[in-house]
Amino acid sequence: MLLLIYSLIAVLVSGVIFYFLWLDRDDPGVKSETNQHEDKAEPDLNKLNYELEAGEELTQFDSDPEFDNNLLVSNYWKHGINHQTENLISIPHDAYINIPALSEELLDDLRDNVCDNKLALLTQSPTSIHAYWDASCLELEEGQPTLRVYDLTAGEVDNYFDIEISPTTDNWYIEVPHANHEYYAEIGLLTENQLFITLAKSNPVLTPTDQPEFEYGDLWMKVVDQEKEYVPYQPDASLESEHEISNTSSSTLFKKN
Amino acid sequence: MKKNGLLSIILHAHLPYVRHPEDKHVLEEEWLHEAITETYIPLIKVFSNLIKDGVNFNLTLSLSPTLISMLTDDLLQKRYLDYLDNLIELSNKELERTKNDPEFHHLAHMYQQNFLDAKRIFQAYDGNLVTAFKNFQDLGVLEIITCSATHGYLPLMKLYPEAVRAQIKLGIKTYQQHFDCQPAGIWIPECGYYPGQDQFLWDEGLRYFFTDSHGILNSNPKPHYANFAPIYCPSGVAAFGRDLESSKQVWSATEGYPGDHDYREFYRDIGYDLDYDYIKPHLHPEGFRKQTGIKYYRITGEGSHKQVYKPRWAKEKAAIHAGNFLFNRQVQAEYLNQQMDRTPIIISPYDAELFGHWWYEGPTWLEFLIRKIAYDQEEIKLITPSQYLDRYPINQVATPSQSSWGAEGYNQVWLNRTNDWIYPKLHRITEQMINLANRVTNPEQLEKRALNQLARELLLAQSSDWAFILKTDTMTEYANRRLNQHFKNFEKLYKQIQQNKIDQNYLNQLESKNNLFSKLDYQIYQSNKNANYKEVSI
Repeated sequence: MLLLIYSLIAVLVSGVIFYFLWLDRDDPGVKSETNQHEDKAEPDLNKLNYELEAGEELTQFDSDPEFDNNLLVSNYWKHGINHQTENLISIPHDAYINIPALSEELLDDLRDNVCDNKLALLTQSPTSIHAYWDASCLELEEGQPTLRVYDLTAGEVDNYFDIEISPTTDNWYIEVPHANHEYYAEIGLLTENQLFITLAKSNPVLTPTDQPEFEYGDLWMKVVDQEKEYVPYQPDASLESEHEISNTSSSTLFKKN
Repeated sequence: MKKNGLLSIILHAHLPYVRHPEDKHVLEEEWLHEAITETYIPLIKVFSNLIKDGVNFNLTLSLSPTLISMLTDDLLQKRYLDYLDNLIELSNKELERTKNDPEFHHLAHMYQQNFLDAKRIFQAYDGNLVTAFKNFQDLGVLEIITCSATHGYLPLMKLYPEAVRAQIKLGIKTYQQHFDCQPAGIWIPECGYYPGQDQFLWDEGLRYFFTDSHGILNSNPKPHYANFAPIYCPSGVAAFGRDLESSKQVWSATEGYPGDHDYREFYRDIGYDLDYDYIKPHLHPEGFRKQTGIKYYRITGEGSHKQVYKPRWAKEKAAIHAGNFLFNRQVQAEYLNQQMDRTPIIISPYDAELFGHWWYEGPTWLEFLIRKIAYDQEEIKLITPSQYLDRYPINQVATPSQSSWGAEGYNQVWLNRTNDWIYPKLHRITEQMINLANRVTNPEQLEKRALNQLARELLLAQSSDWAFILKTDTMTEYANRRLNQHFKNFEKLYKQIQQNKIDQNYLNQLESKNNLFSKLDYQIYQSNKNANYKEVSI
């Protein structure tokens, strides 16, 4: 596992170097406050394993295995590398990373295993999402098995939190802070150096809203015989939507048992 | 301005598919038997009485495809008659046993009459009660709607649009086979809605569905008429939201009518109360006690002490409660009329099995209510959702919020620590089914049969009932068994198809056991994007 991480890092780093060679280095000090991984974690339902593809591509272009492992990975390292690699490893914005050499053997091993990995999210309630997964390589000692949960509604800047998990569990109820937000998750290993190695990516889910909207709508439609058309209409009514969850259905009835 | 309101009562009739040709005494088959005796036949009686007396009414009834399949199944029809004969015999014995005790004797007589009536009505329809309901629809007093094929809970199926579509298509297909027309609406299982789901309904030509109150109240944008008018989803399907107040009056175990002390106590049954040797011939052959349906006590009060059931008192209470229900709707409508510029519609959906099975007096209450609406007042009128949409074809456009009518309002009942293990397995076989449907386009006869059966096993595993039972922690052994059985059947058959080694005997067995949806075509699981896609007619 370690080897994989290192090879990947080597790849990224070579990308960074590449980038630095081509770019002016006039503003290395730019930093922002929070997690800066620009990985927008575009949710992709496609079952293709990006990680693997990206990894392969980049290993090919990493021609110098003996490269200097001690590097400052700057804030804008990612500008220089292939977008797909961002999906592979998230590197903290100002970490010093010590990268030892890498074994092809372990890398191959991982490649064989990781492509069948799966992580699925299911909405449970406005504040809770259920995640289940089937992911190999979580048990490797190179990092802490972690669920990284992204809030996709919160905005452009990456907004995520991590949940430490045990390599032996296969599901989790994730408490999320916001109703009516879209979330997405990755499962992977978080190394001591705070690198996140993605082993599987989830589908996105929307937590249900738990309160009425503020604005009344003004769009009206007429539907006759499966034909629909938008029509102007001015209702003379605006009822307040006071409500509670009633809990009155068959489930309450059976409970009496 | 005339103060009036529209009331739409929707009864949702559903049972999971339980049919065990291999074992005559599977207790769970009695779910159907009990529902026939205590709910479906009493409802048929109520509707017949009303028609006979020339009472005009409009109700909506959803019949789930699994229930339709069971009600039309020869084996289950025959078993129902056996079950009923046993009960008639027991009620005869009860008449004898209670002959010196007028109170109990009177009740024994009532049960005997119920069972004899049930037999007469059942046989009058040749064992097929679906035709009874069809007759009511053809007469114009019932609007029968469909449901998803096996009552699959759609919000937890969202990852697989093909599976959602298959559930809906097959539900409509089953409906068409039995009612010779297209259903106007659908009961989405457990009112489980997620934004986007309505598109599948629209694509299949459905006009409306129902959500729980908060599905409409929390819709986006905010609806002007709250849940007292439907909204159109962007797809064009109308969504009607349940009315809380009327739901509570009927449903609530504490405040609701069914908990009244004069009503019959569900949990005191002679199957548990009477001397073992006496009752044994009417119990399960293995000898354990079970419900017989003969219950002699009224709810009486909180404690365990119960007094004898008085049918006359209960009937009077049902009439009072029907009056109370109607009065509350009138008050509600009057209040809403002050705020609205169109007639409010009050949506009152209930599980059909509440009426008669759980709430013994439910059908009587319903009959009183319908008669009172017809004769005692002007303010409230019964209407079906289709009639409403014909009258008000213009409605606000909004997307309902993700919701269900289960406890706590979202997916908690069907997804929690007691049942979450189902979904990884369910999703895996769903993926396998979709992949096969996309790949195999021209199967040989045998392979095609295997693929169709594979789809049946998947559909049966998808029933929301199993997750529900695991959550409520009663009969969990059966739910686990059924889930594991369908998973196992699927996996075994899947392997045989993959290896092109289909075991014909095994397939025959599965086909004769899990035999619903005889016209199912596995190709309904094709993905739209699939290059091999072609429209299938099932």
